[in-house]
Amino acid sequence: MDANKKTETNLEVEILVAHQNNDGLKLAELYAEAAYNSSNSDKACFFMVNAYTIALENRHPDTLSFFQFLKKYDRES
Amino acid sequence: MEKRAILNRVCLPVEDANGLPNEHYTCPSVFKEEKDILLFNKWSGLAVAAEIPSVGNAVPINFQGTPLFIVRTKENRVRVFQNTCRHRGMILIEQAKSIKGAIRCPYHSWCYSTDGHLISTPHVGGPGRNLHGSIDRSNLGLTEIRSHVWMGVIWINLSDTAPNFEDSMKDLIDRWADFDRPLFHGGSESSFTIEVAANWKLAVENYCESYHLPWVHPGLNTYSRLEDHYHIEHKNIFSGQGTKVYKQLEDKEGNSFPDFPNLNDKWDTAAEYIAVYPNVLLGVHRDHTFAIILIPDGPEKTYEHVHLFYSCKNTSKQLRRENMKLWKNVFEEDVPVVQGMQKGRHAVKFDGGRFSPVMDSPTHCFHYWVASEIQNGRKQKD
Repeated sequence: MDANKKTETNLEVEILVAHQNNDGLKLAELYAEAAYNSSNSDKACFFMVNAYTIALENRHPDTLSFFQFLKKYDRES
Repeated sequence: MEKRAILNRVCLPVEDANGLPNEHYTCPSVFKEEKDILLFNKWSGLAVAAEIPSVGNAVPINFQGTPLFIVRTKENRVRVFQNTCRHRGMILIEQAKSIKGAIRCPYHSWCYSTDGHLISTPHVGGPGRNLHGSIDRSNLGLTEIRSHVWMGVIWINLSDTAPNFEDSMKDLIDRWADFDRPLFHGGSESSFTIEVAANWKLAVENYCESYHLPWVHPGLNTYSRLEDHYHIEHKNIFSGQGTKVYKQLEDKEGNSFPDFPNLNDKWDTAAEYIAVYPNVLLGVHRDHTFAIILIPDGPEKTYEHVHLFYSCKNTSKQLRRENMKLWKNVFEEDVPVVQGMQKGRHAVKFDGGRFSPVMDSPTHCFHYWVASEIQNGRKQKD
């Protein structure tokens, strides 16, 4: 089994669990992790949008860095 | 007699006037008309600011079919917004909550700050793209409802057409300047709701006058007799009654609530009870105030939300309990007569009734306001 693929699957499971638990802080971190692990910028920005949105709602300490990530790719202003 | 002529009779001097006709208490279409003209176009009571004591607290409130929410912003300001996302009109806040960061729409996650700015529009330009040239966030903030906090009450003007609150209520604000200071809500020992099977205006009318006190509140009569009361009338804004013999509540040890500071000597023994048109009933005393917010639920049902306020935070819980019990008893004594008047409004030959020229003028003052506002509203519509 591809080690990278396994990580992605585990991350998906963790994201689903965090959604079910309504754990916003954890969810933002997991989406950000998915973004940083992504192989291309479009995929990364998709996950980072989710991370940033949930971070905004939950006042996550990394909200600003998520914003800057998206801004760098002209996806947020 | 045609409707206009009937309302013209309501507007006659009190000694010649009749009260409002039955349809103003029973008819769904008149209720809707009054909702627009009397509640939405004026400064109406919505809630008390104490319902959102901490920064980030938000409470959804359906006001006469309009979904709103009240929120205490990061700047510690009370604001009122329409409870709908600017995207698909989704309800933003379903239940009371504490907002940590942004208000996120549960549908597509558009995010708003607590002061109403649209701050993020996830994937609006496609996956991973929060921007699109046609989405100007600066024009897509939450729809704010004009609001003002006074005497602990959040007042709103839904139509956005009323003069500023301070201008609208200037004479009452001046009259009660002594009480224009921080008021401390007494918490769970200081709020209760009474459901009344009657039109909201009957609760106002009953509150305005002291005529009924000897018969409906015999307990008060032992120290606050009819002749100790005076009328308060201010055409088109408020009316009510005052007493010259307010007696403070005391516990077994003779302790009472602390007074509001720097009150005029008048308040040593005076108390005043004023109906602020349309739907807020206020009372002031040297040591506490109260607000009753009347929330109509159709033409024949009203919720009376009662809140008591004190001069400081740390008042005796036991005394607050006793004070709430006292007022609850007084207000519940009014329920049978208010409901009885409502039943009477189904008598087809009831003509609105005649007023006592001496005792009923504060009530007539309210009827005059309702009739004249409805007449003006109908004229503008024609």
